[in-house]
Amino acid sequence: MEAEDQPPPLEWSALREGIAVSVWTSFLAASAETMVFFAYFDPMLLGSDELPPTWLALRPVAYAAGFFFFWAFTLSAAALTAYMLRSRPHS
Amino acid sequence: MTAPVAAADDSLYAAHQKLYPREVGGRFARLRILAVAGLLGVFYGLPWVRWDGRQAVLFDLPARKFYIFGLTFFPQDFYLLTWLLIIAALSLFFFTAVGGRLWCGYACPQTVWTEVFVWMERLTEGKWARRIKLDKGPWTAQKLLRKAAKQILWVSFAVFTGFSFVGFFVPVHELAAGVAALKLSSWEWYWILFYGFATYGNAGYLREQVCKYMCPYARFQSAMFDRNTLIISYDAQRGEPRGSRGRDAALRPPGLGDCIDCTLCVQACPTGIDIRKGLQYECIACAACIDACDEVMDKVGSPRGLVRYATQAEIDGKPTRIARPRILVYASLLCLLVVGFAFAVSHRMPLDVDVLRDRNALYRELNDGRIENVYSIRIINKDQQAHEFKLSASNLPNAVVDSDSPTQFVNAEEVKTVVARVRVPGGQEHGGRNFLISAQAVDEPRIRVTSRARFFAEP
Ligand code: SF4
Ligand code: SF4
Repeated sequence: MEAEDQPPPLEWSALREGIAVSVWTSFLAASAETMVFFAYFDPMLLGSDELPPTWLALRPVAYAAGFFFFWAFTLSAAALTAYMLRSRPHS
Repeated sequence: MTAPVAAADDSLYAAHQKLYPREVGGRFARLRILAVAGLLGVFYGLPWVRWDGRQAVLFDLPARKFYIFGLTFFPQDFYLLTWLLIIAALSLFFFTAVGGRLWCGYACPQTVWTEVFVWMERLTEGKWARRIKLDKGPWTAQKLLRKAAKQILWVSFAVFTGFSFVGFFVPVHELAAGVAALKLSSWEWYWILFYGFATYGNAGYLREQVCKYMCPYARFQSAMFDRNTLIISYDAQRGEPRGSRGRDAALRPPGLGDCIDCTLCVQACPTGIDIRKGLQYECIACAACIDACDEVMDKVGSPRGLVRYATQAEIDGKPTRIARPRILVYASLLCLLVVGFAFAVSHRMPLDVDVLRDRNALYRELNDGRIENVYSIRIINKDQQAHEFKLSASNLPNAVVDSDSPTQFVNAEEVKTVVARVRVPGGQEHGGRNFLISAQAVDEPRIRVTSRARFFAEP
């Protein structure tokens, strides 16, 4: 049998690709943001103020919270971008 | 013969077909095993290496210190990391322009971990043909046993991977003791499982789909290619017209090229493409098709290299130019950056000073009429030894810096926050003005850093 007779590997659906790519690219961006942000801001120094809750002054907690905070925003931007690119009605 | 063997796989992805690449051995498979062993050796071994009585490579995030062999880096050295990332990106450009997707074929974590997971799969479920049969067949006790064995291997290896990853951030001996006693903080567990799960999913299931759908490098690598880049090529001039042979494969029917159309190159391809159709963006340059084809050529008595690393120019019968403007530009930039980086690291000032104004009061008038501003000064001693530091002010006439002691003792690799009062005679200053605060090691005057600050007085 010729190789051409094989059905090509099926593709991911647009929805799956959109979700996977959004999650992944936003993860990368959030990681970079976390690195840059915490290179300049030491969460320990926030502790002296009353405004941010004091548990944020624990570094590992603040790093994790910061990471997910950034990820939430990068993910919404990425997902919205994916959605906008796909949902434009074609004439 | 069918190729590539794909079966509808509704276990995890409704619309995706599972690929069963056929295993091949050969020069390039050996080269990759070597690369995989080396890279994984570094990844799993490095956390255990000791240096000067502590872990050689440790990114201590809670303490905000990075130890890399004899050097200690602080967040203030962040620019060095950025610099390093630029060097890494440029090297990737350089190697891609010269050798195509060498990164994908031998060094990408996706490739490296997939290789190990595939090896475990082969160990438990058997070779290519057996695996297809096993997946198609009914759930017998044997199938259950083989699948369970695979999962146990995969999961333990993935968890161990997560453990080693966290071992770069938490002293690995403590981590190991913590795991043994089941006493880790929740975030340590979390990151071990997070990284382990990502490895398991990417290397066990997603595999070529990561390259195809999620990898940015796969999308922009073609921008670095030109006619003189080494790519995996099928020599169509030699191979075509292709055609199968009779019983004695060495007997070539007249008019046919070297390709006997056995489709082994297609069966071996982990991304399920046919390299004979030309370069496609799915090709990760793993060279499995080269190994497969070389073996066939040996068997039928034709020279190797019908599928080989070659430049487009070579395939077209033209000379290949290695030194071309693009390569020269990448190479010289890379040299400059690397030399500059080495210089910056070796001449790094082992001291940093951060000046923060006291937030409570802008300025204060003392009983004797002098004006005082208060600062909190962080002295970051990055040196391997302790120093006494003296603080002084400049660009502010008659200024006196006063703190709890005339000099400040800061231990090796420690950060100390000092409250400093800067005073000037009354009536001298009006409004705000920028000035400089410096710290200097008493025993080694070369170690001196200056930081900008602002002084306020009544308008
Ligand atoms: S395509 Fe991307 S993920 Fe795949 S091997 Fe290459 S760099 Fe790695
Ligand atoms: S075509 Fe590319 S991805 Fe497929 S086996 Fe050959 S080198 Fe590997």
